[in-house]
Amino acid sequence: MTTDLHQSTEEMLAESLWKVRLKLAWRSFRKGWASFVENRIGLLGLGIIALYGLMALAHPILLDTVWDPRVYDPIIGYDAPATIKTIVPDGQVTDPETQVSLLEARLINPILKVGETLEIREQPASPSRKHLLGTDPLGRDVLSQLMFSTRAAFLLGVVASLVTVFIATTVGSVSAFFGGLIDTFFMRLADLILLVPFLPLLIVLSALFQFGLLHLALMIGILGGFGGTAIILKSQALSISVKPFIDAARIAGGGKMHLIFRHIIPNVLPLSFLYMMFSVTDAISIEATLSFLGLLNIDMSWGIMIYQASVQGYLLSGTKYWWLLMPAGLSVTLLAGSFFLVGRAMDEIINPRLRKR
Amino acid sequence: MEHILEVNDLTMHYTVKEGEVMAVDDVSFALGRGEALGLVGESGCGKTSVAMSLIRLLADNAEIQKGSIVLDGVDLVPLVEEEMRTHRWADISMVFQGAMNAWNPVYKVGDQIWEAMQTHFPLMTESEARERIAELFRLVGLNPAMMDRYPHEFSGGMRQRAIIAMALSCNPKVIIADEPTTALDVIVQDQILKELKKIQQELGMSIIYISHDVAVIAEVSDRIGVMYAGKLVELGPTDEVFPRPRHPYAYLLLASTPSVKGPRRKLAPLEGEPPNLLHPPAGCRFHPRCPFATEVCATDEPPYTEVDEGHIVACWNWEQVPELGRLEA
Amino acid sequence: MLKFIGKRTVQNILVFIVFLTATFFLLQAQPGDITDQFLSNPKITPEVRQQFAERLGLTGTLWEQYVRYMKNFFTGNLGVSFSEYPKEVMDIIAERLPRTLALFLFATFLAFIVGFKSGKLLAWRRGKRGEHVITLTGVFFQTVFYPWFAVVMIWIFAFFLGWFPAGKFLTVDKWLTAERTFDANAVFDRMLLTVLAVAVLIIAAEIIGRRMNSRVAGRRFIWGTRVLTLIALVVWWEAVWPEMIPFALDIAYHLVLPTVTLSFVGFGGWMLLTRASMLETLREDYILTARAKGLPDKVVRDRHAARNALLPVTTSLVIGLAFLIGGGVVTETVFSWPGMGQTLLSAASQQDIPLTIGAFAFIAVLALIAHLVVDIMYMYLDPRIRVGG
Ligand SMILES: Nc1ncnc2c1ncn2[C@@H]1O[C@H](COP(=O)(O)OP(=O)(O)OP(=O)(O)O)[C@@H](O)[C@H]1O
Ligand code: SF4
Ligand SMILES: [Mg+2]
Repeated sequence: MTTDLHQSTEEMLAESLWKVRLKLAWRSFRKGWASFVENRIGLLGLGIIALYGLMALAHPILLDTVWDPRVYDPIIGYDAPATIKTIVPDGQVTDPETQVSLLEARLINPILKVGETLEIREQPASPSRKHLLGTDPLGRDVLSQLMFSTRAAFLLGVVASLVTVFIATTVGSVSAFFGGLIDTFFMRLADLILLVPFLPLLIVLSALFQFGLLHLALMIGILGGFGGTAIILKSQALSISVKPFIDAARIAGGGKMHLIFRHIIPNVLPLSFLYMMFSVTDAISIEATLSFLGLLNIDMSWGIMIYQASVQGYLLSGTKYWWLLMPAGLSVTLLAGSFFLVGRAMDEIINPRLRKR
Repeated sequence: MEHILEVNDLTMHYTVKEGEVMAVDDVSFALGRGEALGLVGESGCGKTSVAMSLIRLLADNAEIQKGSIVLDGVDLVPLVEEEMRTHRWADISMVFQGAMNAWNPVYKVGDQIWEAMQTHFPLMTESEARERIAELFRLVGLNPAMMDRYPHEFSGGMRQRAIIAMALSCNPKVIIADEPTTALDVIVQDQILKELKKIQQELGMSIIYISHDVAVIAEVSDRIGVMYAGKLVELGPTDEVFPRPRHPYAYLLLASTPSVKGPRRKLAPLEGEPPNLLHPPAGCRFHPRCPFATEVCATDEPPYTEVDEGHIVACWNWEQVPELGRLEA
Repeated sequence: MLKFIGKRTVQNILVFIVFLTATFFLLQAQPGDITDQFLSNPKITPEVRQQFAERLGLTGTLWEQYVRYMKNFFTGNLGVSFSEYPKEVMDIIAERLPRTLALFLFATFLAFIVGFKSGKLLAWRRGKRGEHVITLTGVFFQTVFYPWFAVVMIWIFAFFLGWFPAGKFLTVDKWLTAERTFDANAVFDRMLLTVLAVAVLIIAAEIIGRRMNSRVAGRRFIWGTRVLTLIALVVWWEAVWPEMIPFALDIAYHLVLPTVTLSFVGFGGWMLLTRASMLETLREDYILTARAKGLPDKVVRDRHAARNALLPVTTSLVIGLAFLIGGGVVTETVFSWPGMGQTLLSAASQQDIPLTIGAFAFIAVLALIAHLVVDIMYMYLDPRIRVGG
């Protein structure tokens, strides 16, 4: 550890600053990666994220090649496998695959008679070779929806967390560096935001305004960025701004902006990156929850899939229509959980307090 | 002198990912009734490990490999945890290295002392206990009213005095004081040492002082043991070891310390770093740093030699070690 | 101590005013005139709309509007609901707030107790097998997609096992067919009051018992009070409201599954947090002291380690509470539990602005009070804050 630092000081004399920085970053990345790999749970999370990443990438390719968009498009595709059944008198159904009782048939068309045939469209259809996860109540392929929604989840997570971390890092560094009134203002604001119940607030906002995916990502990012994350990053920035090299840079005549952007922010970034993981988790669950509650104006997402199942009355249908609820629900859980696991693993590396001896 | 505590061939290892840390290796010594024994050595040489072995409060990865710890006729090593528990504090108590943080912040100081007494003397009533605590507080120079205060209301020195009161509370046969004053400022340090010494003599307590600070040990102990890299390298009466250490390490350690008694000595630097106890050097563990080392030192472990009555040394070349103050050149 | 509580209360009131102000400006910024939104509802006449606009303070200059809006809020004049016209918003809230309160309190209590105890035990057996399983379980409950989880819970416990009703506040048939002189709210309010009274008695006994000079007498006092309180509870209901008992039990029966489900939201986080905090605490010097004193393991674990591990967990309670409040909205929706969350949601999705704002304001007040309680609890737990310092 100490030898590394000595070495890097010497190198610093010879090379330009950014090169050294890059080298240092690479070195600490390699060291961090080594401990990350040791932490099985973090690796598990990363694996699941990669898996979903692949699904998101594969979807457009599949639609271009083997999947016929008329059948497989996640939003406007349609396919309902039809079976032709013969109508038999009530109570005489011997083979439900090919026969249907008169009572049931008349529910569909009251003028039907025994002996006639009836084309029954299965919708939602249970999983088959053609539709690995079945179709939804509108006859759309669930697997395709699932993969398509992955992209939305990633997009939302990345945008929301980038906004969060961008704001929180800036606010944290600026508050720590300037202190005084600026600091007080931002910290009180953060306290305030922490006190507001997050989900109810978003419900109210979505009643007042129409929310799309990007709006939501921005909303989550802004609330998160000015909220708790800012407090955490500020304390990190504060512990850096009292370090001797900041004084040295100040004496060397560095301007305020120079100090903040070249010295404080780069040192806060590892922690920012860590909190990005946690905000991805939050963003994904919040989107899914709001979609589930029917408050978002989005075509398709995991939350919407469950929302539609619930609107069509399949929410409490037990295990019979499992493919309408399980894949989407599990996906939200898995992806949100994986980002959380990666964040936890990174936390153990970045926060030495928690590191094992 | 009758021995209250006898430690024989005590060996204790920590198991870590890279292997075994041999923190205590074949350490033997005895403590007489009413005696004050000092253990001294650089940081990391295993002093705390010895102390923790005596009270059997070891980390999860530590194991006593062999040896015996006979306290007033009872060997503590084979005892199961539940039996050992009844000996702790009642028979052997401790003043910790990090005594500043040795108090639980959420309970009153008096209650924390009472808790120890209640565990070992269940029949003691509350008023008896309060009386005893008050008496102890007076003994260590604290106002008895302080027992109903929380630790954060105590200054560092007061906390340390209270710790000493707590260590005395169950009348233990042996007290171990591990760096009892290290975290305090010099003046308080001195006061507390003097008081501790006074109490020890008044009550005839048997006590083991542990410190990396030779001056502290010199002030308070009757006998002194010098540790190096998990080994006890020299043991003898303070009056003998101090003026004339026989082990090269003890010699350099004392020479590099401003003298407590007598004139100021010229500082001779102790070069090099203490060995890694994962892979201690073969032969004499001190040989890489020893100015007196000869060939045999690198291969064979030096045996203990009794250089004087009750003064033993583990060194091949102890006779080469000059008197202190002669290493001027 | 009182000064601290006073300061925090004032702070929270200020926060609430900022809330309301922000809501006011959001209303202003909202596209279109909210009073136009119910044009198609024939029951809402132009006069009503005008009245509503005045109540929300939508006439006059911006400043006048603001002042009137704030005044109305603090006098409890929240206007008339559109979606449940012509009910007063205040009446709707008065009816539903207790139900949310019950769900929230019970779930928080359950989640905290179970999370803390299990985190404590898991930290104590650290290094043993199953470490990964524990972490994964905790993370699962913390990050699970909650609405989906609630649905799965209903599947399992209501449909598959059939142990609990699948939702709703009470068994409708039972209430409709029975001869009774009281309504559900009356029963429920009495239940809630009983629980609060029991809680106050038990907590008071705990505080007094701990202050007693003799620890043995203190413990006897605490347990005595607990037993007596329970007996008093049964006797009271049998004597005063005997006809309500079966109905109270019916409501309680409906409350079980949503409470347990909601408590899982907080449980995972609190378990992980307690475990981490406890592991940290176990490294403290005073734990070594406690063990050196020869205290039994259980005493070291509970009285020394867990008691201190509780402090950071309490600080982070706030985050867990936010989760639980959000989870509460979802729980009420999935379980058709007619509380504030469900009201907020249905009002929001029908653009019933007065009710939306009113429900939100009360949920916010609930959150603020919860935070205040946590602050006071922390102060009580940490003598460094309570005494001097
Ligand atoms: N739990 C442990 N696991 C592995 N190694 C340990 C453990 N505790 C101590 N050690 C190692 O054992 C050796 C002896 O440590 P010990 O604490 O006994 O030294 P010490 O003489 O008391 O030092 P100090 O003066 O710093 O207190 C050191 O090298 C230390 O790194
Ligand atoms: S045995 Fe040899 S190396 Fe060891 S102390 Fe003596 S002279 Fe030095
Ligand atoms: Mg030590």
